[in-house]
Amino acid sequence: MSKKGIKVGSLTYAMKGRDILYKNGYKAYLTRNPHPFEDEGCGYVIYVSNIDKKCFDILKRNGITVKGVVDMGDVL
Amino acid sequence: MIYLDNAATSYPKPISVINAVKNAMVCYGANPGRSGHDFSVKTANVVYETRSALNDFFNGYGAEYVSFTQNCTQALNTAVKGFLKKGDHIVISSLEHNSVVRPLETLKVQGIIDYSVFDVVSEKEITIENFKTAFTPETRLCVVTSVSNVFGDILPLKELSEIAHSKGALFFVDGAQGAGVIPLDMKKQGIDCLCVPGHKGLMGPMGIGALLHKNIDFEPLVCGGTGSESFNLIQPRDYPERLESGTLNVPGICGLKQGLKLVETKGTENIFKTETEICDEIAFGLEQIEKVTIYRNKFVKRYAPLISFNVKNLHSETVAAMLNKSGIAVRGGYHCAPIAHITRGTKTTGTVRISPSFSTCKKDINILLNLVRKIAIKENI
Repeated sequence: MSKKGIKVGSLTYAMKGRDILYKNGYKAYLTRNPHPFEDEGCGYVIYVSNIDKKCFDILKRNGITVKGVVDMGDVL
Repeated sequence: MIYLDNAATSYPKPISVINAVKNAMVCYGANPGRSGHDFSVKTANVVYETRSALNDFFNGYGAEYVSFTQNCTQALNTAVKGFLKKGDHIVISSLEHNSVVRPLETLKVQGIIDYSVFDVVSEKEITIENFKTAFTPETRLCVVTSVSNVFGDILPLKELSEIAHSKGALFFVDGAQGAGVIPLDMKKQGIDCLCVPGHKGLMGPMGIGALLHKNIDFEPLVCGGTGSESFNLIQPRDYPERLESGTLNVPGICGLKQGLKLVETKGTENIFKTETEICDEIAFGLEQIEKVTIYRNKFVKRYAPLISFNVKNLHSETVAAMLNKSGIAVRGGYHCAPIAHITRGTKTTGTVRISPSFSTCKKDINILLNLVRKIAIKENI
């Protein structure tokens, strides 16, 4: 299975999201988006090793808008 | 030197703050929010931790709504100029600093806005009534200081914010003298936007401040690189980057983080109590000196820990210079608050302001009082 990173709007949201997911039992890390599109995001993604639908629900509940998911390829 | 000018900037800085600033130059030397390498992310982490700590300390609306600025003045300019639109009316208090008055007067002269000033007096009920009558149908914003930097009045923020909100206006607070000195709770006190300096009551270094706010649509004062959405030629909408163009003052942020930690450890209430006792002692001593006027009302129970006084008709700058010759650092003059002096009758002389810290000792107070006594006796006034 390929590794996925969660894209959010700002570095601060990425850090906040990372901390919230971590507190909820996910192994979440902050890393640079390896394949950014020209007009999106903060350039950082939240990498979650055991990503699932609940991750997105938790982020949404905490006011963090997910702007997409990026395939991390083999950068990690 | 006996330093009694903590309302201008706190001194001496705690050793933990000094070490944090030094340490930042070595351990947090990468640019946060720009690169993806570990050193940059490590620096970004400490910046985020400081945002979170500030948000928690002031019970704000989330770390993403904490933007770092150079100082409180820049935070106030960002908030006021970023929020106001043509035709708006603003209500401010008679105790506002030029960091509020000048941006508003500039916008007024440009024909963009208009503003009214409500008089803050010793009776809270009259102050509140004055506030109510200052509103017009166009009032969209109130900007009020938490504490007068000249006279130490503490404004009834909660009562004022309730009125502002009931009239459909937002409530911004200048926390220059209040942050770290009196309890400031954004949610409990209904503060929509709070501007604070890092280098006063929060014990951090100079050159760092913060703007804490609700999710308000601010136009940025400065646009530029944020490390995000590089191909978007319009400033990003997401906070805090929207208000933070250019490289951040990481050593200042690290120093502020430690200052905040120290204030939290000591407790704002304890700091306030200690400094108030020191001020009460100074005020009592000054009251015993003939020809000295203290600008405090005996019926007001609670002042922030600073005292303004004059020696008869001597200009405050003269008295401050005399004290300086004997190694006492106080501030004379107008303290960048012209309306306060006009409304309280000190326009001619300004005031001598004493602002001790929690580490001011009794010996220092005695030296100060003896010198003021000598000035009052010696001068032919």
